[in-house]
Amino acid sequence: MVRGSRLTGVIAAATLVAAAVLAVGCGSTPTTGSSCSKTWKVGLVTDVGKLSDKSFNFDSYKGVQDAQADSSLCVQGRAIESSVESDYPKNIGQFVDQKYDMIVTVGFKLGDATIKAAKANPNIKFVMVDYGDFTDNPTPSNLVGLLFKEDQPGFLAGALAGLLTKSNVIGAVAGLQTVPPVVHYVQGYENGAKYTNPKVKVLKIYQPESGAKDFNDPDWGKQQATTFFGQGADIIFGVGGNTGNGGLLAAKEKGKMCIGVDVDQYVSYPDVDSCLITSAEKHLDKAVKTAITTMVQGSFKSGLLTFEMANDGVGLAPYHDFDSKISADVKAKIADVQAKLKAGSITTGVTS
Amino acid sequence: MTDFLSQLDPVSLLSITLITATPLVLAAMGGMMCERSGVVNIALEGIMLTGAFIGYGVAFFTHSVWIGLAAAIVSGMLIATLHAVLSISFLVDQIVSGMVINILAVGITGVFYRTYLESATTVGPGTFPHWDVPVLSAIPVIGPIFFQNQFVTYAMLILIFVVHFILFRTVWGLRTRACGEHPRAAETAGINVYFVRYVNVIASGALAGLGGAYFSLQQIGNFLPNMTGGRGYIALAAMIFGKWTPLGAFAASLLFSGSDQVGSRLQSVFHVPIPLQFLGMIPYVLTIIVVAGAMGRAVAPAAVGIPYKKG
Repeated sequence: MVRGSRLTGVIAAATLVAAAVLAVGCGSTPTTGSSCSKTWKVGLVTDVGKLSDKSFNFDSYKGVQDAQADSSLCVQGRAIESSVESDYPKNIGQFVDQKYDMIVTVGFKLGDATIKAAKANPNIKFVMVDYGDFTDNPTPSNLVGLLFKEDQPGFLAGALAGLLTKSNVIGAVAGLQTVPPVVHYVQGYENGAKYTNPKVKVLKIYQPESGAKDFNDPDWGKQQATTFFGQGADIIFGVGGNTGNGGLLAAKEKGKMCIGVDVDQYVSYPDVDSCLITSAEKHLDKAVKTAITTMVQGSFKSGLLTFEMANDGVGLAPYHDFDSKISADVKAKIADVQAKLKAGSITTGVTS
Repeated sequence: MTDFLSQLDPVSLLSITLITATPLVLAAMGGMMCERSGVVNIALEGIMLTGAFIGYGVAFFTHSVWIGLAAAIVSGMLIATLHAVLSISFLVDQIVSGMVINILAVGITGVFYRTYLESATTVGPGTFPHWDVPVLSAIPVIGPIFFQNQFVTYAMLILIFVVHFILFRTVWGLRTRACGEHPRAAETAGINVYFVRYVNVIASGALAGLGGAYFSLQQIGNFLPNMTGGRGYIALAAMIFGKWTPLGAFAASLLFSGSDQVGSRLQSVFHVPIPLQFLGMIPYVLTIIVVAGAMGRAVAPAAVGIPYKKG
């Protein structure tokens, strides 16, 4: 059994490696629309948070799927998930090689790779979700950045937390500090809480950069939220994909309140419904679909598309289970803050 | 001072440290049983990931975290059997075999997750319940740290003593160590080296599979691609730092996960004006310092990593 079977072992090992590589290689398969004279191929590249984050990447891809479901647009969508940052140019390159019409890159961190690819491939339209830093003007004419005023829903969520906290201590468990939208949410949250409750203390933590676990480490997020509970916090704002989701889960298990991010997490992450008072939303699906529609209809314009309270590009999700527990007085105050943000009569105090 | 103490909140600090050390300790003890019998097992990472995935998948479809737990352990044993067959019977280089399993685990679990589980937006199977041990959990300090935990953490605490007893107080443990130090001599003394190694490798799979259940079924109630995030490798460092003993591995794991928690607290609670990138480095810097010599010499079992050929 033993002698001379070394070769067999090597072959067995090689087969396993091949199987593993193949397994990594296959992604989701696209479905094709019918009765279209031209099918617009739209490819989406996620950041390392992956489609399973149930918020940011998930909802951006929903914009592509919505466009695909809309038969008038004749769109065929596909997504590639990035595992590490070095995947970004490679994954964008896959869609370039397959002659896609539009490539959507999800997340601030893909900015550099996207600009590079846009310059090299002027015939392909590029959409960057969450990126607006066009310091190297002029912007390539085939590139549009989708920008959200995250500080506004963050401010509104903070205003609600400030009114609902009993301990006057609230927390935020966040993704990377180097990603501006994350910081906008957290600073807006802090300022909003202090706007409605000057006594409130806001504990916050940003995840240290670690590669594959950026925005994808719920265990870490859970530990941080648990630490905040020890400091007296009774509301946790989870800002940062699966990392933030860990914070929400800790709140649910300890019977505290929690606030979701990017999408209505009552729908996307039902495990934590019982603690979710609301979610600070940016309507990613709507924004991505808008960008795709401009391409199909021939009205694509390079530069920036900004989504804010005034054009309903950001907002607060419904209260769901807490609808009956939140007093009419609090609801009125939140509606008032929202109206003032919309009208521009108050600002969030977040500048960068 | 009282303000400092309430901010430090040592009880919760230690409690979180113990919880996050759980998979490290389990995987380190798995690696230890393996290496004590003479087989290197760097597949711990892949075994934990598989255990996390299978545990979650089975719990998802059976609606029982306990059936999921059993599945996680069994799947760990199966993968370990693969490692055993490759490295013991087929004499494949043990590092290569372990690496193959790690790569395979990332690919297979990722694909099956995307195909069958990712789109499922229904509520997951939940997590193991919190069990407070009667009486003991009411003790100040000790109670909240040790006796208000979930299943995998309790199992880890008990298994430290079980593994220690098996390795150093039983005939089986003696045979295991003999196979790891001098298999030829063990064979001469009538010990079936293959059998001893097989059993130990498979046992390590059970321990690492249980460690995998920590991620999906104890902490998150969900599976995420690559969710073990390299902790299988940190566990190997804990095993070496702990000098191939369960208690040593336990202490090393506490040090690793504790330094992580302290780093976080410096940022969030104490607002130390150090860039958080540096705070995030603390566990790794500590690992380097410790492994580089602050701990004295660590001597591996003499025959570890060398495939054994009969006769």
